[in-house]
Amino acid sequence: MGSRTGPVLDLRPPVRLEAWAIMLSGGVVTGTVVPALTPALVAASAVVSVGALAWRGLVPAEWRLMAILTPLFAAAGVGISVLHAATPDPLAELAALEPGEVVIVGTVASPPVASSWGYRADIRVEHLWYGGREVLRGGGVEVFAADLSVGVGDRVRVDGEISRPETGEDGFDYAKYLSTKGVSAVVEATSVWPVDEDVGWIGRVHRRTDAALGYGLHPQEAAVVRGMVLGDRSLIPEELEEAFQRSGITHVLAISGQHVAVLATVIYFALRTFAVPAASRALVTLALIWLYILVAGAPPSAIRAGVVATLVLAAGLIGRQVSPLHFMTTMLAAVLAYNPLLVYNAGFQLSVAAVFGILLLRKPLKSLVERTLLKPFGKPPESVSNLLSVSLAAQTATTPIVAASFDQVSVIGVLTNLVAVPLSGPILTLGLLGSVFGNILPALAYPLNASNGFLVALLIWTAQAASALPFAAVTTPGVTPLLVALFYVGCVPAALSGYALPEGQGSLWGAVLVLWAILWLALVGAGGL
Amino acid sequence: MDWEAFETATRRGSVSQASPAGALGRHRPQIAVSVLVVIVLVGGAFYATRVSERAPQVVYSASLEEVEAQARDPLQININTADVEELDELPEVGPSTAESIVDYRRTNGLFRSVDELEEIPGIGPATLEKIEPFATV
Repeated sequence: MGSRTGPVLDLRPPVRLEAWAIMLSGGVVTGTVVPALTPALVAASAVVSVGALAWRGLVPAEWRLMAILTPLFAAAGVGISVLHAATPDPLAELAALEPGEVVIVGTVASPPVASSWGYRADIRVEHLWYGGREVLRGGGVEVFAADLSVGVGDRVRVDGEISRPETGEDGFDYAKYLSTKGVSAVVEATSVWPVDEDVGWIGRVHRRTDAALGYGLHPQEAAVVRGMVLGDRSLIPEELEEAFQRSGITHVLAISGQHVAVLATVIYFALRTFAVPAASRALVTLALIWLYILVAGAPPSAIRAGVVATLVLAAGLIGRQVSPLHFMTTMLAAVLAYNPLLVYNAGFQLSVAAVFGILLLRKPLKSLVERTLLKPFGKPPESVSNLLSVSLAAQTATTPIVAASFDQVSVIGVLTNLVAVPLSGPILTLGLLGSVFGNILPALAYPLNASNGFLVALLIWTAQAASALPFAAVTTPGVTPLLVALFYVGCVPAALSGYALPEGQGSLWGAVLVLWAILWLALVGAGGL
Repeated sequence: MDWEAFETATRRGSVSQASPAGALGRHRPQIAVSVLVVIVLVGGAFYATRVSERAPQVVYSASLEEVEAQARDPLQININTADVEELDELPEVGPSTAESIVDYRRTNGLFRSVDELEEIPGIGPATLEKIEPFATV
C-alpha cells in the first residue's frame, strides 16, 4: 500500500478505564481493613500485569492496558492507606490519658442532636488549651453538654473533660465510628459559650429553614421535611424514625445520592428554561449542589453523590462520554483516598452498595420482574419495571449491611419503596422551594408547604402502616463481616450476567439472586449461619 | 476486501501491537494520565493527613507531670493586659466589644475589677456573669 495523507483511520478498541479506580480503591480498602493481605494484593496484580503483557488473550483487549498497570494502582492504594494509618493523632493520644479539664475554641460542625446525656455535636478544633497553655490545633471532638444552643458554623468555647470514646455494651465501636468523621475524642462539657457575636451562616440557614417550614406545616411533617432537606433528623420523634426504619424507607430521610440527583435535575432544568448557556448551567448547578452539601453537613453519602454529579456535569463540559461504572469507581477512589476510614461508615457503605447494586444488578432483576411479576399485565410501561427493578436491586445490595448495622432488615421495604421513592422527589423539591420562599415572602411558602404537607403525611402514613405489619422486618442479630462477604459472593453471577455470562440468562441469574437473598436472610434471621 | 490496507489503516506508527513495548508505547497518553492521577490522589492523601486543619497538630509538648502541675490554674484572660485578639476569646465578646474594652482602658486607665466591664457598651449583667470565670485583673 502506498503512502497515506490526511487523518489516520483509527479503529482500535477503546480502553476501559474502570480497572484503575477499582484497583486503587481495592488497595486502600485492603490496606485499611486487612493490612496483612496487602503484599498478596500487590503480588496478584503484578502477576496479572505480567500475564497481560506477555499473553494478549489473557484479558479482553479493552481491559489490557489497565490490567498491565494494575500494580501501579494497587500499590498507590496501599500507599495511601499506609499514609493515613501512619499519621499520628495527638488529640486521641491526649484524650487517652484522660487528663481532665481542657478548654477548646472551635467551630460547630454538626447540628446538635439529643443524646443519652443532654445534647451532642461535633466541633472542629481550632485551639485546645490544657493547663493554661495551648497544646493542640486541628482535629475534631464530639461534645456532650446538658444544653447546646448552637448551630453549624458557630464559633464556640468549650470547657470540659476530654476522654476517648468508649465501646458500647452491645460491642459497638464508637471510637471507630467517630474516626470516620475525623473525630478523635469526646468532651463532657461543663459550659459551651459562643465566642463570636455573629453566628455561623450554616446555622443561620438551618434556623431560617426551620422558621420557613413552620409556615403551614404540622411540626411532625415539618420535622420530616427538615430531615430530608437539611439531613438534620434531630426533631423527628423516635417512634416515627423507628417506623421509617422498620418499613425500609429510612434512606429517604438521609441526604443521599437521590437528594443530590433531584436537586441537580431541578436546578439544571430550571436554568435551561431560562436559556442559560450549557457551560454556565453546569457550573452554576455544580456550585449550588456543593453549597447544598455544605449546608447539609457534608455527610459521606452526599459527598459521594456530589463527586459523581461533578464528574457527570464535567464530562458534558469537556465533551467526554458518561460511563456510570467508571464515575462510581472514580468517586470511590477519590473519596477513599481522602478518608479511608469511610469503609467503616454504615451510611457510606449503604450509599455505595445501593448505587453499585443499581448499576450491576438492575438488568438481571428487571429481566426477572418482566418475566414473572409483570407478565400477567402484558406490556406494562417501562417506568414500572424500571422502578421495581431499581428498588429491588438497591434493597438486595444493601441487605447485608443493614442486617449487620441495625440488626434488622425490612422485608416490606421492597413494596414501601415503590411509594416512598416517587414521593421523596416532589417532597424534597417542594421543601427546598418552601425554605427559599419562606425566607423571602412567607405568604408564598404557605401554599407550597400545604401541598408538601399532604405528600409528607402520605409518606408518614406509609411508614407507620407498613411498620405495623407483623412480617415487616426480620431481626438479624450477630451478622459478621464474613457473612456479609458471603452474601456478596452469591451476588457475583447476577452482577456478571450482563458482561461475562452468555446473553439471555439475565432472568435466570436474577431469580438465583433473589432466592440467594431470601435464603441468606432466612438463615441469618433464624440464627442458622 | 483489501485486508492488508485495512489492517495498516488501523495502526498508528510502526510499533507492533503484539509486543509488550508496542502495547505500552501506543498508550503513552493514557499511561501519563494514570501516573498523574496516582500522584494527585497520593498527594491529596498526604495533604489531608499532614497539612490540612483536619489533622491535629501539636503546638506545645511537655511532660505529663509538668502539664498536670500547671493545670491547677484555670485559663483566665487579664483584661488589663490582653489585646483585642485575646479579649475576643471571652464568652459573648466579639471584635467590636473587644475594641471597646481596649478603648475604655485607654481612656479610663486600668480596670480595678472585672465588674467594671459592665461599663462597656454591649456588656450587661448577663454577659458579665458569663465572662467573670474567664477574666481577671
